Amino acid sequence: MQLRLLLAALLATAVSPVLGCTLSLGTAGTLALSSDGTRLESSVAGGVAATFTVVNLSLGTATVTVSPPQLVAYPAGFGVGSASLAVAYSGSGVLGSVNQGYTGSTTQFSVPGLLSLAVLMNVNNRISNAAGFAAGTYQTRTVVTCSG
Amino acid sequence: MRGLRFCLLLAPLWISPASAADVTFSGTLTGICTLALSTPGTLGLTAGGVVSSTAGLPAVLSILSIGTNTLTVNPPVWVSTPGGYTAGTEVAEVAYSGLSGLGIANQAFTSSVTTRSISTLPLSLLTMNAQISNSLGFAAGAYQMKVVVTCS
Repeated sequence: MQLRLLLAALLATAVSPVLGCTLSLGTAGTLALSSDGTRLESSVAGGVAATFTVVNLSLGTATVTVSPPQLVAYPAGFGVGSASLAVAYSGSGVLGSVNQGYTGSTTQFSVPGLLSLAVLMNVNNRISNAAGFAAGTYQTRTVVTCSG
Repeated sequence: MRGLRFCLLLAPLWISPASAADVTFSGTLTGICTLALSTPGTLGLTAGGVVSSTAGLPAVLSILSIGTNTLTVNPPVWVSTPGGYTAGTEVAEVAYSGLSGLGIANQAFTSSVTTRSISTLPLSLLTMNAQISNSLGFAAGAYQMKVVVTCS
């Protein structure tokens, strides 16, 4: 009896790191200029959304937190002070879907345990600047965390 | 004790490790300048006997610039005139002014080629008037003129 319990404990301990909430990055996103030149955005023509997958194999509900984007790189001539950033995402899993329009705030959504084995998420980023965009390379980063 | 063991075994399954990911986006813009005719102008005859868009409606041009570009505006030229029209001494002039954030100085009517240096601009509008005077006056009929604008 004691041996069985010990083996069960070892098995549970070994498996538990796997049976959590994990995020897997799919593709990085691409930003493109909006037709009016005031937005650099992944959801306009020429842009590409980023993807990631949430897998929650724990018994409990996991919480996915999506932070507002940060401007990681931009050309010297860009007036970063007047720019604003926003993130949007959508996805669907076994138990339903989640859809968040563009926001500059931290948002969260819940991923139920076990039954939602994989939730594929599409993420979009947007940089808005009424004064337009200088030539050069822009890069944004959105931090996503998942905790049980 | 059996219940306690059960809880201890189950606990690792409930404790989910936190996972984090950086989702990145990137895009590169090269220097461009695009021009598009938003609204063509219409011509009319002014009280002073000049065929001008000031007696009709100005044309509206949209401009989008990334980086520093040079806008060049030429005076108008005839595209078509009626059969009875005879060109005497003509003076062709163009005038323009910026709208919607286009921060270029306004240009009064001039018969010269004018240039403006423009920096990064979102989509902005430029209203444009054109006119041609003729010492021999104007015959009845349809007139069409064009103003060539370049951005490079």
